[in-house]
Amino acid sequence: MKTFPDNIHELIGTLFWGLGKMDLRLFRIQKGQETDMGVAETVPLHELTSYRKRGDRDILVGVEVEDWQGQGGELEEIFRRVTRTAVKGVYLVVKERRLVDRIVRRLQELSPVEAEVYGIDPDYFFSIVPLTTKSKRKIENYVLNLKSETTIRGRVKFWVKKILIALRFGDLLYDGFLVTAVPFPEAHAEG
Amino acid sequence: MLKHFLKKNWLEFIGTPTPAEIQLLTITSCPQFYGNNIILVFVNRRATPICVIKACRNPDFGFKLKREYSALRAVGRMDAVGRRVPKAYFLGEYEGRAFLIQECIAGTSLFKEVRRCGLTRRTKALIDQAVDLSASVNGTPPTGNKRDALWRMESAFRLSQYEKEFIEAGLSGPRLKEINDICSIDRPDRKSYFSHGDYWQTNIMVHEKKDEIAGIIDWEFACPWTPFPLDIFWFLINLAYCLYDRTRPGATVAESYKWGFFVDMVYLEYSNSLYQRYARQVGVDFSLFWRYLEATLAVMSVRELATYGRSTNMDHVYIDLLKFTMENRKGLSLD
Repeated sequence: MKTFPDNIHELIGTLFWGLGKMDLRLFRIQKGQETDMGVAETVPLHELTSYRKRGDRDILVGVEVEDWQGQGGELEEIFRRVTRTAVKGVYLVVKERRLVDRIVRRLQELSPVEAEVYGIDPDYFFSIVPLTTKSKRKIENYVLNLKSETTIRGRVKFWVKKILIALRFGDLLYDGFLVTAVPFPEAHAEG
Repeated sequence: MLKHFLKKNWLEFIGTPTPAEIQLLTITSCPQFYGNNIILVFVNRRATPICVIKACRNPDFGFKLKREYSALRAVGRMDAVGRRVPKAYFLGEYEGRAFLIQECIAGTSLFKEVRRCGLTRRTKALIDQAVDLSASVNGTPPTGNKRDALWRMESAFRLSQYEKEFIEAGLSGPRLKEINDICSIDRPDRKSYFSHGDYWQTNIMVHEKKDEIAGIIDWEFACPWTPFPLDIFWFLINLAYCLYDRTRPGATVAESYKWGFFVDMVYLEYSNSLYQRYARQVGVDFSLFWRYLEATLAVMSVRELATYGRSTNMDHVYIDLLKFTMENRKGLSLD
């Protein structure tokens, strides 16, 4: 995704430490040709691009979601393509907050998974902030205080963000969101 | 998942009972291939992290984390400073990449404080404390296993291996020989210093509620036998940077260096007073201020080349500043 550094996938991969050796298999879901909704099952609205493939080792599936309707079977198609190998975990990088809950529900419909959500903040310290926690506001304040602003504009921005966090609008701080999911038995696998 | 990996091994890694809840904040301030991924670990609804995991991005740079682990263990045993360095909990490897778990020191960096407030009575007191801490570390012979990574040869002092770069920049002759001599590590008669190696204001944490230094972090470049007092000069070079950047945001290291040491005589006198404060405690020669400053620039240039190759260009920046210093410091007196 254009606003994120090239090593975002490597950074996200760190969150999956403990699941053993894996290869990363990346996909992208993006808007294809516009068609009438019609019968969504037979007219896929979106393209899938698989652009890295390695052998038959266990894999971590990474998905960049540029646009997603959630009805065209994109996730099922991805998992269909990788069924020959064991999927140890999956993550999706999503631009819009409104898609996150739908994606989590869809994943849980496909398989029992332990899912978590993070906010992606590409500001001075590129951060992946845990959102599925009651400590969300404390952690967001901590991240905000890591940055140093001395200009008037910077200080105004700081206080606006502080107020957004206090009013529970912290999701507006993020340029994207990350959903991670591991199948329930894998969540507590041998490290 | 990393979270479960931590929970499972918590007692072995940290030595305390496993917390009920763990949350991970992943950050990276240095996206280059030689940088580390930093994972801050929050537990049980605390507002600040309890520990930090540094995960090496590239297996070739794992030695930095190994050196840091070794340094933290050595400095942690020093009476005057021990409580002001993070506890090193665990050093391990995962999929060939080194990772280090250490205590997280709460607070704000001295860089932020000085940049925000400038030189006030409070920040000057903090700067004095930072200088005194540096003197304590530098002047204490380290103990520990000499086979540890900390004692591995620091190639940044082998200036002769990079002589070509200096000659290409127009530096040669007796002045370069003088710097070479200062940086020589092959002189058993010469005093050596245990240095932090990257002692600048971003690595010095200030307590949130008290006016005191809470801790010193990032010991990746620690060296137990530095041939001259590198830390204080690196501190002074970067103090100029955070002061100049305050009034002119976006200023470069080069611009602030020239301003601090050649334009603003007030800063030059202040930095010399800090050096004298340091020198009295460690027992170094006041008159070598400029030579040590030049040696610091030379070593930093070589370190950039030796560690990162030409990927950063900072080696050229420091060599240029070295040349500038040599050409312009005649006539400037601090006596």
